[in-house]
Amino acid sequence: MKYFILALSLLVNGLLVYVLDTRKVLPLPLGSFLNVQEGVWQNAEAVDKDFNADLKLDGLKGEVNVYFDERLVPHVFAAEESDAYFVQGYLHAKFRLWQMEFQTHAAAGRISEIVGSKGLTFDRNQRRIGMVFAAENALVAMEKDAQTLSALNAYTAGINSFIKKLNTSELPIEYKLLGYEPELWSNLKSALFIKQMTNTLAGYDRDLEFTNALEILGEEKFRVLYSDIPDSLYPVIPTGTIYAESRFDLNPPDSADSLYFKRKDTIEFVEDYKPDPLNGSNNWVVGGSKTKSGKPILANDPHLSLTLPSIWYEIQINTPSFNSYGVSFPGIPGVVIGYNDSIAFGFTNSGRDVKDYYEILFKDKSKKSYFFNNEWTDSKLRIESIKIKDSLPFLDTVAYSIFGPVTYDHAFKHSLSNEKAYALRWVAHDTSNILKMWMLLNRAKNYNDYYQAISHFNVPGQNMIFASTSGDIALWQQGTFPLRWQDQGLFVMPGKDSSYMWKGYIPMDENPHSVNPAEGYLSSANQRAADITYPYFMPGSYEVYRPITINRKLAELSNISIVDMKQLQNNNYNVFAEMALPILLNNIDIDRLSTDEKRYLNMVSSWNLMNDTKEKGTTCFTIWWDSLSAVIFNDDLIKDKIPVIKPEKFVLLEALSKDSSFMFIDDLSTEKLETLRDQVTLAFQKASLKLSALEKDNKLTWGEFKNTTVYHLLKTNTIPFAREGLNIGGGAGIVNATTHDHGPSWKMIIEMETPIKAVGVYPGGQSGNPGSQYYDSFIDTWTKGEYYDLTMMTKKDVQDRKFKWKMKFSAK
Amino acid sequence: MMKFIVSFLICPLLAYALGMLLPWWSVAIAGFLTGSFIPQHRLLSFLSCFLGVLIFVGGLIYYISDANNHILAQKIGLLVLKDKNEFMIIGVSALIAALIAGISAITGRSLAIVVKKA
Repeated sequence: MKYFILALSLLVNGLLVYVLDTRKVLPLPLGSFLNVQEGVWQNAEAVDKDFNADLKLDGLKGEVNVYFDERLVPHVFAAEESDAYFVQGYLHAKFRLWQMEFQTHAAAGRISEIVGSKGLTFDRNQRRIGMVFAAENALVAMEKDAQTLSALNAYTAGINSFIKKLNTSELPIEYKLLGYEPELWSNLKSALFIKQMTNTLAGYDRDLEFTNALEILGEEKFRVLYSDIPDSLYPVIPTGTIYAESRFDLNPPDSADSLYFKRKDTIEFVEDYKPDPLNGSNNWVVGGSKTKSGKPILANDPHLSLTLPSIWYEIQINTPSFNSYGVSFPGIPGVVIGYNDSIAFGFTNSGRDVKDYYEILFKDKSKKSYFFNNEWTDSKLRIESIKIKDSLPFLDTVAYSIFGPVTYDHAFKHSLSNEKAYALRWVAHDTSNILKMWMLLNRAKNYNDYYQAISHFNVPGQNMIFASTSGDIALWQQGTFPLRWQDQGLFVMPGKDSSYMWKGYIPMDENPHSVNPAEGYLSSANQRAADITYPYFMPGSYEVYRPITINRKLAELSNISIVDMKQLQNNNYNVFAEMALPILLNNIDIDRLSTDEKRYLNMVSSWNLMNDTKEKGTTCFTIWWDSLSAVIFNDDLIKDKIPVIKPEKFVLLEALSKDSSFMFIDDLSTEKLETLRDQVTLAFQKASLKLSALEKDNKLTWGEFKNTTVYHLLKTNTIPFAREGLNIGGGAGIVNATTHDHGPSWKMIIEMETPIKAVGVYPGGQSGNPGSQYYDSFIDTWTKGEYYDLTMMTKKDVQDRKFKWKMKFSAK
Repeated sequence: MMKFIVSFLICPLLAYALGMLLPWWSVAIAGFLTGSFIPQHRLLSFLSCFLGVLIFVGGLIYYISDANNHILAQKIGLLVLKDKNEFMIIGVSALIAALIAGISAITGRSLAIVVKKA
């Protein structure tokens, strides 16, 4: 009996320990995960935590004092510039380590290491668009420049100084959740971070879908549906600006008509993991002639996926060579959007297409050679070994052609034959040191310094806004943009010789820009940068409506103060609806509607055109328009599951406002010849079905329908770490660009008085730890459309009570 | 009764001390050792270690979580138990350690009995 009891208890004991220690039985190893000494309880940060510390670290040259204010924003005072970057690295790691590593693992196509084989397609895609190749190329340029190298080395050393001292119980929660440990940081990881951002902002293209649409529709109809020059264009650079003529020979190759515009082929596979085309931003600057103080005011709000931990980390960096404040990216040194004692700077995305595909022909399945300029040319094979958690590594051979990596071939997209493949030419692969721009912007004192700084930037092309305390304002669309002949790169190009390659880049001084314009203001909101008089072909994915509201307001306002700029950033006016709704209402056949449908119609016809949370009209209008777009285009565009992409909203709106017998209105799948009235009514009836379902769930108001959510980076896997149902209006095409999970990721307004006045807020908090009160502490302020005063601390403020904690760093 | 109290006190303290050096399963070692060296009925071995660890660990976690205003407890509760109540997740966390300690104490005691009689 006693032996039996011993055996039984041993068995139960062993089994229990095993079950609680492994991830194979329960999704989490609850034994360690819920353990008081090493599990998540160690991440439960006391709400009265004392952040004071005296740290002696290897790698510092001198002393650095960091004062944390009540929002946990660090104000870093360093006698040596490199020490400031060391400490910035340390702080990024201390508060944001997991996200930095996760994002750079994602950039490098290493997610399968963490999540297992469900990450494999993502990882292969990252490797095949050449993300690591791009980062390696960037690193060469960054490390060639002494100033950047010194900053990067110090930043990396600071991060590693934190990681090396980290013990298991102090690991961020996500490591405990996913079951892995951080590795040391490297300069390459900073380069990978930059490339991840580059892909987010300059990785969206529609070449494959456009190629299909061209085949389905023919050239004439294609041009109608996919124009990128709206009638209602408010270009970034004011209309009327005179552009010099192009000095380049930009004629298409002789074969373009037959091999390019009239190619007969469709691409059957879908591109995965396309960046969100909503990634964009607003920025504007008003000159002293329009402000109450007589000094410029600059505003910027970059629109990105709203995530916790936030993509941004607020910081002030004070060194003998500069003093800057703003938000930084955990992953790279310096302040990315912000101001110093003399200037303010911000960015919006250019939206320009800098990414093209070339169809190439491999000799055989081995991908060792491809046909180029009349001969078989060797490709470089890069064997990507993708580690997979709990499994053997996956080996993926990526061929590199003269154009760049061959993203799509038979091994990745099985609908392709062994020979046919698509190679990627992307500006992101070019060697460049964009960090240098921030190194210089942080210390820039005037317009010339800003100009010098931005000249180092290549991709993702940005609209770079500027204001100085001396009263100058400027806006440059800066980046390296390919010199293209008209329509080059809209479709997949033939890659059998060099005739379709880019002919170089547009010289920087011919990039659209404006300095101290007569209007007294400048703005950008991801629209096309220039009107049709600009001499270069500039394809891209552009916003049309946000710029209209912004320009109207800026033109009409005078005596502007920070309060006016706050109102503009929070503006929920739907200018698209202002133009589209009359067309809908004039063409609906009320007699055909049921009682319920009439009720919905009443909601939308009495709507005040504001995308406020309480409005039901916004929901009705949005669904109605989407329904109309589907009713009108689906029959023309959707053929045999061939991937295509919807035309931009302005295309349908502008077509219908000019021509009520627009050629796409008729539904080709019916015998009847439908009119606009038929289709608008049908679209409304279809929309009503959705509206009625929403109404049953109490989700008809815009706020309930949109359900603005700031997800944790692990998305729906970690819903308790998210903030759902935020009561904030706005939407796509609205100045307040908040959609369901995307929108203003940082809102900043700077008035260039002496001293400079600044306000800002982001939907997150300074700590990346879901167990800290500082994890999401700014979200309520952000949701209400309110801001924090940003304080550029001086050494005199050391005694000020609002600087609650001091971390002293010194050399060991 | 004295043995029960000693076991009740020693087991969690030993578990905590071992836990500073070893992974989470060191609570099993604590239970095992306590069970082996403190002679009492197996059921009492189990109960003393189980209750000792339950109260000690539960109290410790409550102390940590209370200082955190239960911000994390509620999130982890939702994540693991689909229940926001902080007491549930604190209870489950303590229960896991207590159960391992208690069963290990039975194992330790059973081994001691076998060895002694052999």
